[in-house]
Amino acid sequence: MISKKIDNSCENCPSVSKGIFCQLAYDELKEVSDHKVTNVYKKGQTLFVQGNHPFGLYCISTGNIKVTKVGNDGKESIVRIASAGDVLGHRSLFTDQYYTATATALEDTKVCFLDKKFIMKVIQENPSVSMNVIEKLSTDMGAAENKLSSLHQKNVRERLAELLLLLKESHGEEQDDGKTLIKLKLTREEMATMIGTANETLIRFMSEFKEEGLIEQVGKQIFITDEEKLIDWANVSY
Amino acid sequence: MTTKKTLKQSIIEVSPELMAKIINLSEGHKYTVDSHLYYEGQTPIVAYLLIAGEASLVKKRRKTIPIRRGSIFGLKELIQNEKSIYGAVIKSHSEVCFLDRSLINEIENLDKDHELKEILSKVKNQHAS
Repeated sequence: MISKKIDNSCENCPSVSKGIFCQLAYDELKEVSDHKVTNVYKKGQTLFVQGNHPFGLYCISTGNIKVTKVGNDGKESIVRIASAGDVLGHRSLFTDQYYTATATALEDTKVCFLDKKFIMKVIQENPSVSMNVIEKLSTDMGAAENKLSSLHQKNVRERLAELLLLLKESHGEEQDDGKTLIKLKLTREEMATMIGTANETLIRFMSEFKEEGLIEQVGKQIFITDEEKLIDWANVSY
Repeated sequence: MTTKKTLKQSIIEVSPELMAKIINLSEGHKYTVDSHLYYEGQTPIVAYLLIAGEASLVKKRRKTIPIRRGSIFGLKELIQNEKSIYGAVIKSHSEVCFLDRSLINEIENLDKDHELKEILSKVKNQHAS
């Protein structure tokens, strides 16, 4: 049997151009490669748990991670979905606070870990890395602000339409027939928590969206079929 | 010899004196909830020294090896960058010290003879042999 050695080097990472190390020179990138620990997390496995102490930075190479918070009532809500090229744990790292959320793999996900001391050194020595981290933090902050205002100002129908548009932007794949496949398998329950509604309400609105021709569903896969109408229903200007 | 090694199980027991020295190098952290430290088939992202509480190595959810207080685990796999045949879990309120790659490099570069240097070199030599 021929065993194939898996290449986990940063330079060959499919997400290097989207990651925080995208502007590093070969030698600097090699140093990161040599120091990191790479693992594949299977669906449902956790990278870190809300309430525990942070000790480094996670970079997603492939796959998707859901970041969830559990409230006092024990209910879990999805804060965001982190995908290839994203980093996790950076906020807790800088503030030295305990993790305020749990990160769980939504599918088999390849993740690289860098310990706190090392990543701090890289950030201090490479302004491009710090700028990229700031950019990630700013993007996250913008998304959090939008989500907050949506929850306050929009109804469930508008929020669902907005979520579908966001998923199209982050995980959409254009099909030959003009439809867009959302390449992220979320359960109805997960989608419901993302827009702050009950499962039953989400199912009702999904049916309405299908009847009105905004989306199609084949098994668990969702296709966006009428983006313009979806934008209209989301009450946003794109 | 201040350490009793059970490398077969990836657990290295250290003396109370060495444990105190490690705590000096890397402060202890308490886990607030039951957690997986690493899963079967993964390389631990750091090595752990159990200071207090309960942790164990697990295999296929059946075999469980309790880890004693004052034991380092995950070090062999971290140094050798190999997948662990065991997963590791920890109970809430347990306390550990993290031994990450930066700390391991620092210990290796220490001038004076540190017992941890001895452990690290033995784990490395085992890989080379």
